[in-house]
Amino acid sequence: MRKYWLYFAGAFQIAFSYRASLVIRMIRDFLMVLFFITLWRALFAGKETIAGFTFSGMVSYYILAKAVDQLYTFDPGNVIERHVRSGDLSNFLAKPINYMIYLASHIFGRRLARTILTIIASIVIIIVFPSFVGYPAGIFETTAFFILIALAWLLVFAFSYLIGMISFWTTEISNIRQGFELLILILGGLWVPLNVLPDQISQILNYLPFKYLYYFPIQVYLGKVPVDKVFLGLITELCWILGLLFIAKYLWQRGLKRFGAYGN
Amino acid sequence: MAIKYLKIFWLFFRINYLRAMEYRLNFFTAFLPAFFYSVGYLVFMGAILSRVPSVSGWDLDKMLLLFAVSQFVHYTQWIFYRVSLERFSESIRDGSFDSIAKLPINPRFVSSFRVQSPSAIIPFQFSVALFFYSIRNISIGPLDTILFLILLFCGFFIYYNISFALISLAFFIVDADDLLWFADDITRFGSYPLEIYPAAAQFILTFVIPVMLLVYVPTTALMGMVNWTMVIATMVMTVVTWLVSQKIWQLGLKHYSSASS
Repeated sequence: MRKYWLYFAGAFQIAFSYRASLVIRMIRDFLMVLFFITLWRALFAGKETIAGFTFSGMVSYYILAKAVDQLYTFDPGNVIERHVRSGDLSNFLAKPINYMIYLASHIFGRRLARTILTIIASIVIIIVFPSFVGYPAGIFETTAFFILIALAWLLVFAFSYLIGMISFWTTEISNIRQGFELLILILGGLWVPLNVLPDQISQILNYLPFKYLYYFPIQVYLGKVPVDKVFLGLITELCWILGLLFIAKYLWQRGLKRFGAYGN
Repeated sequence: MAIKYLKIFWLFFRINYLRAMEYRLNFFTAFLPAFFYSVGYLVFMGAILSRVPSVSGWDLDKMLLLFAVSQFVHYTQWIFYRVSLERFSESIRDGSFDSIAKLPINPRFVSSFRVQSPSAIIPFQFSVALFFYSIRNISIGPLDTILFLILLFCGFFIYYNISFALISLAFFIVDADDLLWFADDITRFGSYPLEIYPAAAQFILTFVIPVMLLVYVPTTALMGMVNWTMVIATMVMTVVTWLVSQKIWQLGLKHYSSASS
């Protein structure tokens, strides 16, 4: 495991050396939070609740979703695409490492720098907007929330890995990648809680794995999900991850044959 | 002179088009991000506006029109100059700007337009379709249309000037490309009705960081809701942002040459 630890540590150090970039990113996210507060204030004009959410409840949801979003990254797809297109993948295949674990360590290291800033930003938000901050319902909900988020990180990793592997079949996939990334974020409930959407759409989304990214963990955190449903959600999310990673492993073998056929 | 630059621009565009066509599938799937973003916006706004009558007096069609015009402006920058500006920042970092500065063409022109993104034409067309869909129930006069086009052109120009001024800071700081994304975020404020913002924010978004002039002012003109103070502000800001961007660029050039000598 030491080699993966080194990949993780190296990526973290590099990411942290671009501090100005990270701070600009944090300011951008803070501005977006301000923007959404303004927009929701206008939408709630004269209304007490929308889909069961009060104004401060909706803002709390968005701030939490935005904070959770800082932890996720679709970089694996980007990295795979770059490695396949440049042929650099051959170098990794020649090394005694598991490419998937390497990628997870590298990406997690890169993201950790952002996570640290997210924690700082969250503290600032708690100080600036105390009434908009959603506080956890209890210890069980908080623990479940963090487990769900950790699993959701793996879920995003699996999605991104699968999307990145399209590059074995068609080398330049930036538009496909960006399109699907955006779709996954929207369907996960980053913009708006899924129960605000029309009934048919939210019922369909209930059967898909995307809700485990934002909507489900935040509802758990806010204490809006019964305990048995939390456990069911955890098991379902785990099944989705295992299923997607299994498909990824299968497609990886198929993709490698194609990559080999390029003569790389 | 202008014809010479148009010819050069066309040459750049053809080269970039050929380059983009190397990856045909990627070229033709360029609509995907715009498509999902637009559908997401439609579902989001549709769901909200089915529960509240309007957003500060703006119904779904009007909101959609504002969104379509914001998409116009967004993809126009990608078609014409956005990638060039990002490459310019890189060229300052790796020193390759030296070769641009030596060319017998205006370096601002080359830095702005040498790399286009022809694949952005596809999502641009999608925003045009969205535009025509959103105006189906809105009555629009010919004078409104002319004023809209003039203001929209000014909006494109203001956006270009702001982007160029920000990326010119690459002469002074290392990671100026992040500032372009920052500008993208700020312009998102301009794709919602001015009325949703508090008075102080309205002033700042119109006269200090003039993002309301890019989308909101042309759109209201098209709908016959002309606010002449805003129209004059747009004209003035077109010139002011040009002068400011030119000043930062010239200061940057001086700074760059002194740094390399």
